[in-house]
Amino acid sequence: MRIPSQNRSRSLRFHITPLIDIVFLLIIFFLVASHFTRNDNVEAVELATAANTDQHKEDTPRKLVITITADEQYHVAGKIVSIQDIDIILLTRNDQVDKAVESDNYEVRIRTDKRVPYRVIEPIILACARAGISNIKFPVIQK
Amino acid sequence: MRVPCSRNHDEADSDRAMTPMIDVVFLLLIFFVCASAGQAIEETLPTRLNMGSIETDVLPEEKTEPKGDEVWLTIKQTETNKTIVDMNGTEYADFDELGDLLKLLSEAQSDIPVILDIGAEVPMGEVLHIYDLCRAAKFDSVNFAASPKGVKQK
Repeated sequence: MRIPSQNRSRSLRFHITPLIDIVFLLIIFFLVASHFTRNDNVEAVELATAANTDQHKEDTPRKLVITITADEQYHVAGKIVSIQDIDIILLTRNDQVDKAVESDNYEVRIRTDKRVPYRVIEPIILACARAGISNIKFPVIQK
Repeated sequence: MRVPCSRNHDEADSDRAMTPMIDVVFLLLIFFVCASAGQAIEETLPTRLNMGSIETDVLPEEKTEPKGDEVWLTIKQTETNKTIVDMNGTEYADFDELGDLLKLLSEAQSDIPVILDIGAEVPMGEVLHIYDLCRAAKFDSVNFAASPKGVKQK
C-alpha cells in the first residue's frame, strides 16, 4: 500500500533565484547610472591644504564648480572652457532666477590645483564680482 | 515502510543557493569600502566678495599706497621662486611668524580690513595658506586686491 506523502509544508519556502536576479539588476543599474551622472570632481587636481575650513556647511542649491588643473585649463562639468565662457555662464545663470531669491544662494566653487598661479584665478574672481556673486569657496584638504 | 521525507532536501537546496548570494554581497561591500577609502575628503574655504562696484572713474597710474587703517599683505615670489609676504613694509618668509603676528593684530583690532595683494605668479597653494592664516586670526574682512586691467572704467 502506498502511503500518500503529506506535502504540508509548515516552513516558509524562500525563493533565492529571483532575489539574486534582483541584486544583479540593481548592480547593473547603479553601474550605468553612475556612468551618466555628472561628476564635478572628475579632474584630478592637487588641492591646497588649510586648517580653518568652513564649519557651518550649508547646502547651496545652485552652485557652479570650476576646476583649474595644473596645466591652467578651466573645466566646467567635465568640459574645457575659456574665461569668456565662464563669464557668460555666470552672467546668464544669475539672470535665470529672481535676483531677490538668488542673492546669496548662488555659490561658485573654485577647485584649483595648488600649483596654479594666481593670475589664472583672478579673472574668475573678477567675473564673479561682475555677475554679482559674492559667495565663493575654495575646496581644500583639511590639515 | 519508511516514507521518504522531502522537507530536508528543500532546506538543503535553499542553503546551497544562499551561498553565492552572500559571496556577491560581501564582495560588493569590500569593493565599496576600498573605493571610498581612497578618496580624500574635500572641505571648503569660504570667502565673501565685497559687493561694491568694481568700476572706477580713473584708473590709478601708480600703485595705491596702503592706508594706515588697513593691513595690506603683498604676496610675491622672489627670484628663487620662494613666496614672501610684505606686510605694511616688513617682509616675512616664515608664515608661522606671520600667522602669530596676524593673531596679535586681530586681538587688538579685529575690524581692520585685510587686503591681499597677490602677485601674478604666486601659486594658489601659498595664497590659500595665507588666506587660511587670516581666517585663523579671525579678522572681520579679508579682501582681494584686483589689478587695474581687470577693473572696468566707467
